[in-house]
Amino acid sequence: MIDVEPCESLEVLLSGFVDGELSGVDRERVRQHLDECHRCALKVIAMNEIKRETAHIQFQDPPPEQWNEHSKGLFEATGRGVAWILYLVGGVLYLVLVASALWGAIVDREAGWKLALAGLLILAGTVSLFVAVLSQRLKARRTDRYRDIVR
Amino acid sequence: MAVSSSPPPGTPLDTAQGGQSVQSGFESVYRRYRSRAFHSACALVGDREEAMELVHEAFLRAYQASDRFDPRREFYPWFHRILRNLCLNRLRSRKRNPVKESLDRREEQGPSIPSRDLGPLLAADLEERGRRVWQAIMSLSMEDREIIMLREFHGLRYRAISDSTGCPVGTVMSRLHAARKRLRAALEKRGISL
Repeated sequence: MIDVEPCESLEVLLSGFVDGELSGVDRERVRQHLDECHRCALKVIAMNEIKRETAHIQFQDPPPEQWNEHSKGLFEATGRGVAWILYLVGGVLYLVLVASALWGAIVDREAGWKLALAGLLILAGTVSLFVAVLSQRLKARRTDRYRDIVR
Repeated sequence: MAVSSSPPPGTPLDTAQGGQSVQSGFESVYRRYRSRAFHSACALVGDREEAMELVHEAFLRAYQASDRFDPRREFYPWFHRILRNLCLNRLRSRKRNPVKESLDRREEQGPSIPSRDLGPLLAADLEERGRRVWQAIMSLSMEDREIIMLREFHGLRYRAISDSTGCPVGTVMSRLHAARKRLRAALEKRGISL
């Protein structure tokens, strides 16, 4: 009498068997088990039935005009990459010039305090925004339903 | 299973003529995979309009990250990871109740199931059955829907699913097995016995 492997040790291989993903050795193990185990054989039949059921579903694409709009927007966006690079480089240069002008003005005491106040307001606003976003992110992380899903 | 205008599963990236880069072949890559991406996004977020937006964003990011893509690998599993992360972010940012309302939305906004030229009664039966199957799929968790989509609808091999999801092949097999069990239960709940 052939020893039948327990169902628990082979159950997870049943999907691989149905999908043709098992090695030769595992495939033979499962095949022998199915010859003897009616319960697992029914599971394999059910999995094949699921395949047949899903085969009946035919997805309908969005209409061509929607795809055309979609692709137009996409290719315009990819073309904006160069524009962004120029914008960023220009922005950095501008900030450097403003910083050096501010420094010159601060050294000149008459105008310095007003500029320093403006700078402090900008700094305070930036820090407040940072704290607000950080606390929101931490709260979202604590209540995240999907945190266990592996990226 | 018919998924309109998708290349056979496991097709390596089309790098256009003469081994050009993704940028130069981007348009052909887009046209080859946009349907499959749209169907995946629909399954993940359950909303066709959002799926279109997410596909748009995913292709844009794939284009921007194309210098990091190895053209010897399959494109879709790499791209699917980008799309998947965007869908996850979208699911997280939904302000409405993520369990009940999204389930209702998911079940309502599945793929359009076209009528078939099979005679009115049979076509209606098949269409109704297909809707119930889709509703059963959309009642599953996001992880289950994703793996069912990749295997049953896109026909990806386990290795490709592993690349798409970041799970080892063994985990893919066990997750798929568990997803199929839950799908079977969901189908039976909707009057489809196997």
